[in-house]
Amino acid sequence: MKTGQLLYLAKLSLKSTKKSNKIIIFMLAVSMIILIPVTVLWISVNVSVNKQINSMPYMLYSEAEIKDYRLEDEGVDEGLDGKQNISEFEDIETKIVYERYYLTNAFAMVDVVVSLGGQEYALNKEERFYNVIDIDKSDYFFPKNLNSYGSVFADNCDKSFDGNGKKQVIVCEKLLDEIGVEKEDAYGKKITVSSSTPYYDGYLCYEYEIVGIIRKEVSAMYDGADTFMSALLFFCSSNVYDEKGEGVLKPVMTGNGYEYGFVNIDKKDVLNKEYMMIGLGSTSYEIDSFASTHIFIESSSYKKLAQINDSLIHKAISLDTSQLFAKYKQLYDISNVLTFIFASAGTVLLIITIMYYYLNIKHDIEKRKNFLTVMRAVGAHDKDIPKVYMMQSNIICAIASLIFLVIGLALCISIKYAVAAIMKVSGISVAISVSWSMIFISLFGMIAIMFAITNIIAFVCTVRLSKQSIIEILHKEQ
Amino acid sequence: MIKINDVSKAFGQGAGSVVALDNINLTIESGKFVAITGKSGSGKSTLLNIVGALEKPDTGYVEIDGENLNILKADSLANFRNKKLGYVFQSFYLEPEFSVIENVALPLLIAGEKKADREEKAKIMINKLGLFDKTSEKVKNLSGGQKQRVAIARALVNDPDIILADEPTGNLDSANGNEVIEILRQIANDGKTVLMVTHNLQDANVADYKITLKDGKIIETTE
Repeated sequence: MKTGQLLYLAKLSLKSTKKSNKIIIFMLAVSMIILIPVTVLWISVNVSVNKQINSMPYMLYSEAEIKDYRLEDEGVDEGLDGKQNISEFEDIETKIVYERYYLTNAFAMVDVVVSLGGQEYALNKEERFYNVIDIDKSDYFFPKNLNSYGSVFADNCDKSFDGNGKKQVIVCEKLLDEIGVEKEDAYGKKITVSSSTPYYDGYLCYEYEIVGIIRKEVSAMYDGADTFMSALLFFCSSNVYDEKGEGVLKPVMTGNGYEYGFVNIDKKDVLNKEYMMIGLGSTSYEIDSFASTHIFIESSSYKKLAQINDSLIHKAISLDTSQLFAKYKQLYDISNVLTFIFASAGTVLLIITIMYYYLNIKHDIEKRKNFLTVMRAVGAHDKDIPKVYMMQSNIICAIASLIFLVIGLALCISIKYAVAAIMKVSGISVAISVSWSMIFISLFGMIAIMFAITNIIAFVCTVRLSKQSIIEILHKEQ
Repeated sequence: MIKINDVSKAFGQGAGSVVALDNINLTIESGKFVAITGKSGSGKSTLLNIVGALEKPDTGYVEIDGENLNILKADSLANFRNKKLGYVFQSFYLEPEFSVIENVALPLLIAGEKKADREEKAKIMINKLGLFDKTSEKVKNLSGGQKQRVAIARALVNDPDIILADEPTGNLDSANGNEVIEILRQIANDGKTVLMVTHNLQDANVADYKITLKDGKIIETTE
């Protein structure tokens, strides 16, 4: 039978069971109405909070702290050959390789490069030809035999975030001394840093704008590459001063072997990625700790720097989330309580409705078994019987859905504006929102589920009858 | 024309099986009114059901106007029943909550006819059977005789070639029963083939000829 015929038969059949159908329609609509605000609210809270958490920047340091951290390994990294710390390497060449990774991978991410100067290796000095004179349009150049970590970093600093190809550098005052430049004159000037190393062929040449200077006292403070680096990064961030030599030049995000975050920046400015620099140790990190005050880097696996790279590229800003989490938790708790109350009531009612609907159909089929069988005898196909009842289900659901849509939509709109008002009052800067798409997906999703459930029930109840022998049924009744 | 060829049917299995029909061979010409009689368990209803494509024989086949019912698939068989056959059952099997016209129009609805056409045809049939004033009445409010007439109207509405009636007067009093038999006689006179199962010999005498079954076999054919 075609749809029109099924519809006609279904309508005829429904007329004979008006009272029970009205009850079913009412119960269906009410259970959906009870469930929808819960669904919308719960999904919205979770989606909004998760979205915010995932896009949340890192922790903000209220003040830079000088800490003396040693690098610690979680386990043996293949590149470290079982050593726990880079400083354990006796072979200077190997050490340099790891230092290179340690430092340059980190700085490969940055816009502003920390150029460390003044630290010299006592050993194999002559082999470390990090600086090559290049004469171009730069204002300054490094002397050939100046050992400088800056040029080591320069080798690998090939990324710029400002989009103009301009690279910015913070240089050590000692480096400027080496090239005979007063720090007051250095700001805004361009410096070329190029290098070749015993380990790579060719020259890498970069031009940088000097945007910050690290004081001599800072860079001379510690011995040893790792601790110096660790301390230096913090010092860098707190000692990057402006053109006048006072205050801070730019906010920086920096870190040592274990921690990093923002320094010299107001919370509200954190989102401005221009004021960003990243410094890292050669260690991996725990992703969980991004949500805490400090980000711990616990392993010296240099391979994991790539992980950090990927992660920090997109998330290189931070925020104090502890208060935010407290408020989110409150929201979670409220939404969970409401969810529990309404979801329980709605679910119980829905189960009762489904059971009632099932029993209603069963009873109707039993009552009309003969007629349904005679329908087959006079030419209806076997599968038409389930189709008639499925059509009946569709009619019932359609009416219930109409009622549900009207009331449900009104409820959802109320929730949307109530949530917005609560957000405003509570002062949470990152809002929970109930989007229109969420509302419509929930409303129509629920309707689709209802149609599916009622059709399945109708099919299950009738399929057996449609397969039984016509004569068997009729003779049984006779 | 109905041709019944070597039809046998048994119910149950093994030692407990009952032979309902045993190698029946029969030809019924079109336009005849045939009564099938016999005691209970003689196989007459089984024969009617097999001819009516409601059951399949274990062996043999039935041919109606050249169409072998055995080779038709379920849906084709259903279509065949809709177009070619009309049923009148002892218990009527009407939908009590539907009106007379809704019950009568059922085969037309299944055949896919438009609402206006089916209502018109149904009304013609209802009038023919003298139920004009009951057209919109719910079937549950009718008498037994009226219900059977509605059932007959339903059987005829699609203008089938063959009417199959299984104990059509079984649940009726004699007056109503006689009326129904008269209607069936008239239907046969109008050129349709009528097969009626009955244990009422008086009703059987109205037919053109009578087939008597015993233990699944035709023991007598009388005109």
